[in-house]
Amino acid sequence: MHVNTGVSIAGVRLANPVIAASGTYGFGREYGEYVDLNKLGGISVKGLTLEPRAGNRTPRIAETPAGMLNSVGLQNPGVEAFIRDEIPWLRKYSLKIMANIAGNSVADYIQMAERLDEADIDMIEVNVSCPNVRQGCISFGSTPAGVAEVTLAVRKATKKPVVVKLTPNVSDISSTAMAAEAGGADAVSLINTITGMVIDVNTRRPLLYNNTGGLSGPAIRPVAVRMVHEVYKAVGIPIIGMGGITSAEDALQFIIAGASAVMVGTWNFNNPRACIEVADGIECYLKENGMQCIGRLTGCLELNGE
Amino acid sequence: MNENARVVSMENLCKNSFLMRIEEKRIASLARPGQFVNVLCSRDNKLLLRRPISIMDADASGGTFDIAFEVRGEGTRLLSGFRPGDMLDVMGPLGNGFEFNESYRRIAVVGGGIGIYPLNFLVKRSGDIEIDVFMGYRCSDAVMPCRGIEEGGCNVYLSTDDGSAGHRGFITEVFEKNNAPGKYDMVYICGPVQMAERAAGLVRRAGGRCQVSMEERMGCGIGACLVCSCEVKTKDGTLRKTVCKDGPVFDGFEVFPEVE
Ligand SMILES: Cc1cc2nc3c(=O)[nH]c(=O)nc-3n(C[C@H](O)[C@H](O)[C@H](O)COP(=O)(O)OP(=O)(O)OC[C@H]3O[C@@H](n4cnc5c(N)ncnc54)[C@H](O)[C@@H]3O)c2cc1C
Ligand SMILES: Cc1cc2nc3c(=O)[nH]c(=O)nc-3n(C[C@H](O)[C@H](O)[C@H](O)COP(=O)(O)O)c2cc1C
Ligand code: FES
Repeated sequence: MHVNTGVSIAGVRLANPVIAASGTYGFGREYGEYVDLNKLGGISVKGLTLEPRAGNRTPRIAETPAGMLNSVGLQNPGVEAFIRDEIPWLRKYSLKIMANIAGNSVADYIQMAERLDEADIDMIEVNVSCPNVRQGCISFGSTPAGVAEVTLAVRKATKKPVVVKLTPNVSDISSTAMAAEAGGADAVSLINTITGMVIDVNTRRPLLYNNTGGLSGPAIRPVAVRMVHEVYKAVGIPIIGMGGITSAEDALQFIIAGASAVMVGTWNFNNPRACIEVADGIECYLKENGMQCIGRLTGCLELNGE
Repeated sequence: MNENARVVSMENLCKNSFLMRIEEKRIASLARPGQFVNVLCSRDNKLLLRRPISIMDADASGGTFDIAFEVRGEGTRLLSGFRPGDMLDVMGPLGNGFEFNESYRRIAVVGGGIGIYPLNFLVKRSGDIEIDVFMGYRCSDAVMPCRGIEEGGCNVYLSTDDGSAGHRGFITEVFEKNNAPGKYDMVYICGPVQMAERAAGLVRRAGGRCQVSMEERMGCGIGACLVCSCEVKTKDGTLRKTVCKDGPVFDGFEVFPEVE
């Protein structure tokens, strides 16, 4: 049987539902030596800011049970360097390009969205959820009003599809998701990392120089799946799910809970071919279950007791 | 690339250190001194992150390379449990490696603890020139045999923190006392950051040149995630480089610039 693994999000057609998650895949160059980038649905590039950023001091990483904390702090070359140095190279491949943007202020988001509107990218992922910077970003993502304000501003500044990336560090993620939808988002992606801390008991100091960092990897997967399920019930726009995906089975949990596509982040560090293996595994699952496309799986979850 | 490589042999070098020979033709033929591999220490993914370990020797014709490591935590403990015949997932060779110029007639290597391992490979590959080797350890128990250095006919200087072997104190003291750190064409440094900084300072004051191999906690190991960032001062200004891809070897004066 021929199966079609393609998915459409906000009118953008991805060859398969697997996207490399922002911050774990750079701009694709390094992992491009391990995998054929044409076999990914898309890439969300390292979080961009208006000006280049140096990021936080090291150590920036700590392994935790089934996960890791990072406190990179949005080190990146800035949006202009991305447009000039990275897009032409990345465009040689068929995968779709999402520009992940993070701002200190609403004005930053607007300026980046306007600049990217003219650039050769497919979607803008609005990062209102980075836990590792002092100003802006997650402070917008923490409240429905903040999410709505940034989303509305970006929506006005660009015709490109707008995906809003949500933070799990809130008491009710469906309310920030609804705020993104009301602000005109074409889709939402979730979850970004969960803020955490690891303490070195010998020095009695946090292991990360930044004190806290964002938890990612398998440890956060059940939280992420639950949140995708909640958001699916709350909004009508497509959802891109992520958090601890290591295999096709993990990815399918997100899809069944309501995601139209998925992102793979931390697991690339463990297995540089993770994205491809997840995509291949999803194709096998469709074949084995006699399904022609993914659409029917999205949100097909049946709850117990209903 | 990551490869499913086969462990050929495992040897207990000294108290907590192990030498592992791994069969993997591509890595064996490409490896240069100063490069490393990123190793998955647990076959059933008990650990998420790979561990960076230097390549300490490589035999291109035999298709094998060696790593040596000290057990520090869970990752290296699991690695020490591998046995000949076991399969191991390694990515490599990674990083830039040491720069070595055929015109060099006299070099020094300064290593502390596990920092000796990558220097062993350099000594082996640098041919028939004069090499002074400075090795610092915690105690005599930690001093481990290094074939390249032992067979290389080098002048070896040893120190231990407790004086149980060689000079009692820091290896940088021996480096400073017995030799003029400026008389070498190049000094190669690898070890704890305080040791590396001190050694680089001595070389600078004596008017020499040095390369330092840096350590930083890593995520991807290939330059994509930017967790292993390191600040370097070059003539183009202060830059952020990755230890895993741009490094681990840097010009000593770029990572330890003179404090004004
Ligand atoms: C380029 C490079 C080359 C190295 N070469 C060697 C070698 O040849 N032999 C050897 O014995 N050791 C070497 N190390 C150090 C080795 O990577 C660490 O000892 C090892 O990662 C510790 O892992 P663990 O799980 O046993 O310890 P844990 O302390 O439990 O590790 C926890 C986390 O911290 C990281 N980490 C801990 N110490 C270090 C360190 N010193 N450097 C980088 N990451 C660290 C680990 O990778 C892991 O992610 C090298 C490090 C680097 C960066
Ligand atoms: C090292 C690292 C850097 C990250 N940088 C970004 C970033 O720049 N922008 C962003 O939106 N998310 C960033 N993230 C979050 C991931 O994109 C993803 O949301 C999160 O890690 C959960 O997925 P995972 O468990 O598959 O990694 C980063 C994650 C890691 C581990
Ligand atoms: S470890 Fe990812 S960039 Fe160096």
